[in-house]
Amino acid sequence: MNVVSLEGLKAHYINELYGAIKTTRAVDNVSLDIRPNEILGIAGESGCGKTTLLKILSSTIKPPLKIVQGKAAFHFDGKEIEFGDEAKLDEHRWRTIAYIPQGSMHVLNPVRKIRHTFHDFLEHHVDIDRKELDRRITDYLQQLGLSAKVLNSYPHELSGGMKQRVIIGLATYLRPKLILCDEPTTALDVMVQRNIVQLLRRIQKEQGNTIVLVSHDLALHANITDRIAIMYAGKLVEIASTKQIFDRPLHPYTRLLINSLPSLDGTNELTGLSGQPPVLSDPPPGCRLHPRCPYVETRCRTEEPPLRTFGDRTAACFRISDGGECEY
Amino acid sequence: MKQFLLIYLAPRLVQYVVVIFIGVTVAFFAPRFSPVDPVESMMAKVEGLGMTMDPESVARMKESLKDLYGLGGSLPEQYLAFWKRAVTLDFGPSLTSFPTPVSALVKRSLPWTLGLLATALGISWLLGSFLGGVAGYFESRKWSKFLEAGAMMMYPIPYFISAIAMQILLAYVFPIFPVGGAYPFGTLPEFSLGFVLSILQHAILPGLSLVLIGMGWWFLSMKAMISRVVAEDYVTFAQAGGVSSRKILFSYAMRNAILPQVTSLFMAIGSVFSGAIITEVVFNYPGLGLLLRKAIATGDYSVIMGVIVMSIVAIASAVLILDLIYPLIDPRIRRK
Ligand SMILES: Nc1ncnc2c1ncn2[C@@H]1O[C@H](COP(=O)(O)OP(=O)(O)O)[C@@H](O)[C@H]1O
Ligand SMILES: [Mg+2]
Repeated sequence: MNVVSLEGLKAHYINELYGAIKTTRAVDNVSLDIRPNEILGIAGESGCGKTTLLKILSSTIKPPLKIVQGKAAFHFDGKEIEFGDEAKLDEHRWRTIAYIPQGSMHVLNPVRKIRHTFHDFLEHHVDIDRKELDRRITDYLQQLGLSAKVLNSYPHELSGGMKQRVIIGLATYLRPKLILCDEPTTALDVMVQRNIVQLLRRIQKEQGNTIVLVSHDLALHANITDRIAIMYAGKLVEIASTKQIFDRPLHPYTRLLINSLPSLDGTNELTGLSGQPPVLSDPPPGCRLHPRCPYVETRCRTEEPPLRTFGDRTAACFRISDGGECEY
Repeated sequence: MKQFLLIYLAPRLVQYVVVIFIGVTVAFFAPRFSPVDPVESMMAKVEGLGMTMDPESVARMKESLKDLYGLGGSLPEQYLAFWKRAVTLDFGPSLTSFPTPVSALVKRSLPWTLGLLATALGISWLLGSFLGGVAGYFESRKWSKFLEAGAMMMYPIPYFISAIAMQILLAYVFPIFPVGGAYPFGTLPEFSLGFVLSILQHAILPGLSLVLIGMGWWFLSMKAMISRVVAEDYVTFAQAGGVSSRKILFSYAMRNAILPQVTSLFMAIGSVFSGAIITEVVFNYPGLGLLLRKAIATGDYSVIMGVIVMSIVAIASAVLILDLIYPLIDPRIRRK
């Protein structure tokens, strides 16, 4: 049974500016199944709606963001919970679903000691006295490579990497089924990035969680994910296993993203992407990639390509044959 | 700790001294560059009374006036003498209430101002910040919008208009409260229950006018601050984590939004020491504001100088105290 299933989900930011209503279609017609125990990557350039998608999955939607259409449900212990069923979701917050928001710098309350933040997050879920809880938290943090001193610190006293470990510790202490991770390594330096990735992988192996990992960094995805969903301008354009994505990308956007990765031998000429992704309050008609796509043909400019299935993978492009071959 | 004293405290103490030095120096020079000569205007007043004096006594009177105002001698001498007055808080005798010393007048007015203004400030800060915080957190609720509309309506009304309106309504039309004064006219201050009650009764109307106007301001600024804090990642994170909403409201949102409110509160405390002129004039309340206004109207130079120097010291001290307690409420300051 899939942990999460999304069907035709649309979520828009609806802002009113000087009387005019501006709609940003940040998540537009997204269908996606998240499987148990997988690490699913969500990749794409900045501003394509990845964070918005995670906000929906973590049920932290607040105005101006609004779900305008679609079906979405969690499946926990054989029970279905629809998105928006706050009463039922509240039972699962943190125990079953943990969310690590983007930007580890501002995720912890700056005027609260780490110890108290842990108590705030765990008090509904554990029924032991504070002393024992503190001891267990200290133990757990030590497993994550943090010293006991951290518990008595304020966030500003910790380095970026330590903060991210604390946040990961908070998110995984209750061994949740589903962990939603937004850009967990951005803003950290390279060595620390690698440690954090290893830590996440280790935890996942041990606890068997399902992880949704959002990052614009394809190298990170190559490193850790099992499956990747490529997002462009609010839409999923390709979903396949990590191996398939890197061995034989079907969608032109996926190919362009991979081409813009610097290769190890330094031979690639960065034939990647030029230009900017579209503004989501006024996206282009037809395929949203067409103004930047080198393989564009006439109907791409007017018709929107549907997401099609090719064996065990999906992609949305007219220039893929029914047999799943690129015709460009 | 030693390092904290050195790195954190020392610069602030230096700053304190420098601010007072500059303030007092400006207070010394500003009137000396103004075209109004207090001695000449006093002489004009005396002559206006119809007294005629021979030139010799005119000269003598000018001399003694100069002495009283601290205007005798060369500029550096005057400057030193001014500092001596500021440090010993001895600004000489008042000229309109001659020979009562300025310090006695200030000592008489200060408790009224502090009692009324500081209390009103405290109440309006607490109520305004609390209501603004809760209303900001529950922004989409009806009662929140209702409160904001109330604050927005109160806010643009000039204070003297609302003060006079309240006075007319609650002292003349419905004579619930006394029209003015700090205690019944003709009684002498004494320490008895009846007198204390009558002080309270006299303070309610001016206090209420201050609390209402102040609350509107604290409400709006706290509400604006909360809406910004609520969008912060740590609030979203706590919400995703199922932290109880009461805890998010108080320990996450309010706790962070209150920091700038505390800063503004101390700025406001500093200005209490120059009195609330409009309040005290409208309600004839015998505080520093009324004293200052009378002194300006009668050209009582020594009193003006005394009140100005005192409020410079008060504002600088409030800032210093704020700097000292701020590390207690914002842990981020402690380390730097
Ligand atoms: N609060 C908001 N109001 C309006 N538009 C927003 C808001 N937050 C994000 N957006 C817009 O939604 C789009 C998707 O943003 P986001 O989900 O943060 O993308 P990503 O995480 O992929 O960088 C962007 O165009 C962004 O400008
Ligand atoms: Mg993002």
